[in-house]
Amino acid sequence: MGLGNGMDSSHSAQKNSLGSRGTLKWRDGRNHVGDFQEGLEHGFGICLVPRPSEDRYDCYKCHWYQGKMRGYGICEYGNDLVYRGYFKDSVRQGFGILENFSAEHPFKYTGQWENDKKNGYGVWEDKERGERYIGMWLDDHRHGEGIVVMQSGLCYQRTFHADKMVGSGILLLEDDSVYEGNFTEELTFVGKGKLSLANGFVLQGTFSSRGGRGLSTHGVLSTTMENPNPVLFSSQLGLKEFPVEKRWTGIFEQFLEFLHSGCKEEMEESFTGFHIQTRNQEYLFCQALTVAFQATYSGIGANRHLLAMAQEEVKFYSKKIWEFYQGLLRVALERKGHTPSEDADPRLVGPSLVLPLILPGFYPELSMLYMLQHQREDELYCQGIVELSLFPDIQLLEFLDVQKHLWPLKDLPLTSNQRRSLIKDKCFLSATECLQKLITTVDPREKLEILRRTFQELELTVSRLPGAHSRLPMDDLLPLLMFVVSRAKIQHLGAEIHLIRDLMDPTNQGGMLDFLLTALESCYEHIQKIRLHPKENSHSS
Amino acid sequence: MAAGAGAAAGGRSFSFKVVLLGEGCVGKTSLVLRYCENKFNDKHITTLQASFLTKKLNIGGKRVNLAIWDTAGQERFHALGPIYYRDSNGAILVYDITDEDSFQKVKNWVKELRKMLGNEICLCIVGNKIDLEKERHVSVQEAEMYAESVGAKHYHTSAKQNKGIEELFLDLCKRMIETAQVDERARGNGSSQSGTARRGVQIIDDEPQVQSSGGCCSSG
Repeated sequence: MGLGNGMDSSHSAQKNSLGSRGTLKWRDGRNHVGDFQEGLEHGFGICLVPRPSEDRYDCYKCHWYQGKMRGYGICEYGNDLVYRGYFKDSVRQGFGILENFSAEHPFKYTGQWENDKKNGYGVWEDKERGERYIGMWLDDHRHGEGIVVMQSGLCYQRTFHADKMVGSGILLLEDDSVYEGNFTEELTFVGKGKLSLANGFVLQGTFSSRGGRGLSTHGVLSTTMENPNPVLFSSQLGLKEFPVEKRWTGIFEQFLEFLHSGCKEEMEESFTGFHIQTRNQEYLFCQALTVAFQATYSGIGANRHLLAMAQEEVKFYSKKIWEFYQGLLRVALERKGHTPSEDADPRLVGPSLVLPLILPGFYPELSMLYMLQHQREDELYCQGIVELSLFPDIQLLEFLDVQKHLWPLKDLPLTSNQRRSLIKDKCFLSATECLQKLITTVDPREKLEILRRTFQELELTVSRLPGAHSRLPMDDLLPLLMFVVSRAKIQHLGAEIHLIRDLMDPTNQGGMLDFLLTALESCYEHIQKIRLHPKENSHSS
Repeated sequence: MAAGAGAAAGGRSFSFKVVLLGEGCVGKTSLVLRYCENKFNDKHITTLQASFLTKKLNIGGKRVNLAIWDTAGQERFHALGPIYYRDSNGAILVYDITDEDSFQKVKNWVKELRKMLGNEICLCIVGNKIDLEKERHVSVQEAEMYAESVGAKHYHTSAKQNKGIEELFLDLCKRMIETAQVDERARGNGSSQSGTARRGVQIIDDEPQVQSSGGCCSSG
């Protein structure tokens, strides 16, 4: 970049007591419009710099500090590159996004910059290849631990050295087989390795490619199937390699700096740039974090092996935002002359208050990851639901062994036909409808509340039945709940349950809401196994 | 969270999860209902009046919050067990002394629990309905010997006559506190902290916020 002050310039400005606002023009065509102080760019400004031998300009919309770019800025370069992020001493420094919108080699880098170069944790998307790199950088090269996810759903984790892959890695294939060992960028296995197939077979040996005619190997194939390794199947990447507190440090630094500067209003915009539209502290952090989150986990990044990373990240965000709030509070109190009390509640209350507030910003990607992770169970559950939906209510109550005295409308003097038509698919309707609201909210607290109300409705219905105890032991309650769950037909229930469990306030553990969620989970598990075995094997008899 | 090593013995509170297992008609629910029934405050009953119950105790200055999880006893729900008993600190396995078969079911549960949760879970085997002593089909000696052989404690109760229930729960709580403290000590000394971190015990050092009135604070 090198935006030093030019030699020949004309300067027109209106002076006022603080500084001035004006236009500075250089002979080479450079043009700066903005705030100045003592002859230097200081404050917000827009600078146009002509590109040599092109009829185009680089446009900098940034904050300046004593003649140098500092804080948040947007730079639209003449060559279709756009940088949105932080600067210091006129170079990219801290968190920033560089995107190439040109037709040739379109890419997007979201991550950390040091001294104008990609350095630290960052995400690179190669839009042409449909590939995303999530990991460490050094001087614009992939360097250190990294994860590569591909459009096909395949992904691997490797160590990089100046853009080259070194050592062995782990390759997670689309068909759930896993290869551990060395492989090339074209995904050819080379050297010693271990291939664990999804069916439990393990092939261990030395691999080499045969010039495009398949794979050759000397090794041992073990077919004992002792352990169709469930750990590998659900293996989650990046947890050890990228500790959550080391990701996106550039975003958090800006806010710490803002706090340390005493939250001066004129500094707000330069620090918090990503959020100038909202001006609402609540969303300050969130916007930059949402951008970073989407860059990692949306699109190609919607890969179930990244779920643990994503989940951990959202929880960590709420912790950091809570800390930021406390910082703001401290500054506010100090301004009013109060001494801030140091006995802030050390328990986890704060972050769990923040989580529901910020969750909407991360929910689409996060819930997609949960759906992918629990796709198989959800499919089984769906089959079970379809089978159960073939039953009219009476038969379903019978099938689930709901105690007869808990059947609604039991002792109305109706013939069985009348009864069937009257209450067809209407039993426990209030509870069913209540449970269906589960997917209308993203907040785990509200979801649990909906669950609680579902049980309440269930018990209310039962309490209206003559002769039935409203104190239901699990022997009675579980079949009833199964009935309600199978009628509510909630899609992706497994993903829902796990999301709630992972994100709910940890103080719920072991408590009533945990119990209700567990009961729901047990219904979900049970429904997966329900098959009515329509007698299709008639020819065998 | 809190480093337990130097914590004083008093003013501690524990939260335990206890799961209730046993066949349908052995009376496991009435057992717990009997225990948790609060005669002085009828309104205190939670939504799930019989399948999820809580009880607060004070044992030697240590406050204990018990959460008791009922399970469905039907055989076809057996496979759902692990969902309910994970992260439990204790299990109460109830059989009917007049029903040999229900005792067999308890044995199956014990095997499964030991296999899945090891020795960290405190097991109580409970022979209920001792008011029907005449119809007993499970011998006292056999039951007690079995319990001893699997590292469980055996109790005799009658939910109907309210016999043996207080002792059962008090005893269980004491054992769970002991286990939690041993666990805590091991974690304090041991090298790996995160290894056993995801157990259900929550030990909270709560500095009493209101210390206005001097003197001893008895249970509330």
